[in-house]
Amino acid sequence: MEEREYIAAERALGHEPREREGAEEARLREDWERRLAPLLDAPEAAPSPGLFARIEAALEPEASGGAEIVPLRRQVRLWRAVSGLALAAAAALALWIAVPAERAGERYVAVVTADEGGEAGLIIQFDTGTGLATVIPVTAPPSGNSYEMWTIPEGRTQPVSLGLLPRGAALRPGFTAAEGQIFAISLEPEGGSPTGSPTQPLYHGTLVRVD
Amino acid sequence: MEEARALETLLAAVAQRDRRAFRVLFDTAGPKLMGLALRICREQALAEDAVQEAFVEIWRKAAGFDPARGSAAGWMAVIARNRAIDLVRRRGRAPGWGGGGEGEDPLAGLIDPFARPDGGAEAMALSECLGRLEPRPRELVVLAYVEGLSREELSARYDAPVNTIKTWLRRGLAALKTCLDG
Repeated sequence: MEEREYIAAERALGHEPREREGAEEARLREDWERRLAPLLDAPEAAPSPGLFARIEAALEPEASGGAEIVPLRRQVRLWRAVSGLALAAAAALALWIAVPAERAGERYVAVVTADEGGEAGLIIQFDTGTGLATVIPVTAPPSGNSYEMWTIPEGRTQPVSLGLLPRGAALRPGFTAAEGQIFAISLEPEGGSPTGSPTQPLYHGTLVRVD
Repeated sequence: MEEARALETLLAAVAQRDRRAFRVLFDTAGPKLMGLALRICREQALAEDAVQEAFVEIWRKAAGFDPARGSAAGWMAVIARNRAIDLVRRRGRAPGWGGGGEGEDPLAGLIDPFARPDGGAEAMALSECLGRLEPRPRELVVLAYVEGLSREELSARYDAPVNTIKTWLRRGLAALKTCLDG
């Protein structure tokens, strides 16, 4: 192994200083950090309830509220880049179905992607401790339409509606989620599915447990 | 892979200053980073300070994360590890639990590749390659990286000169790289 590789590894361990590290040296050091990263896997521990508020307070102040639509539009482009496929709609909105409370539980995430391709349609995060889900849709439905959210509970074959997005939808406390559970989003006439079944399925994804 | 992709997507959104995504990222990754920080800091309040600093850094550097060069979970873990070790040192203490007597394998119980659906292959390869090292270099690599012990602290713990520690470590690191790249 070359001397610069040793130095990079020793920088990763924290045994050599990182000041005056060049770009190539930083890359070699980061390669070592990546090699050793699995060692950092630790049993989970619950942070105090107020920790996120402290973190937010420590961030640089940024525009929010009215200015939000601009970064969200950028985010759509970004997601498009991430997924490598074009998204049909350009408008974006973010929605809290429910605000997660501070209670530890198992957490699940589903990245719900388009049936016709791989682009991310929305992200669902689910916490069994609170029984609440957070949904971040990437696109808004065309005017005159609504998005409706569905799941197929274990032991059932037909989708069950969880309500409309963004209005009136709720995953209430007591709702249970299981690994592999399927969630889907359909495009519906405004007001929701007239039949009780998805009219035009758009996206689907399954919950995976996040350790 | 969906889990890894979820974290990557969240980080990409955080890079775009999406505070909702940041909140989801905290809820998702926070407990893991908290556990990691606690292992180094050995004290809840200090570990939370470290996690706070780590998430502020994650917020700041999210745009620099490159999924082509490792997992999002690993990227965040390295940040939390470095913040925790810095913080402990600023308090004038040695990181880690300081326990684990002579002959006790610090690797035992640290790494369970089968418990990790994400990055499982990387974890398994590292575990396998660490297992092939001689015991002393292996212990030193693990203690230095996981607990953040300095050469001087390792020298005191193993009652060996600092230069010997450095030589053992280099032997371990070289063998590790050969195994991982092979």
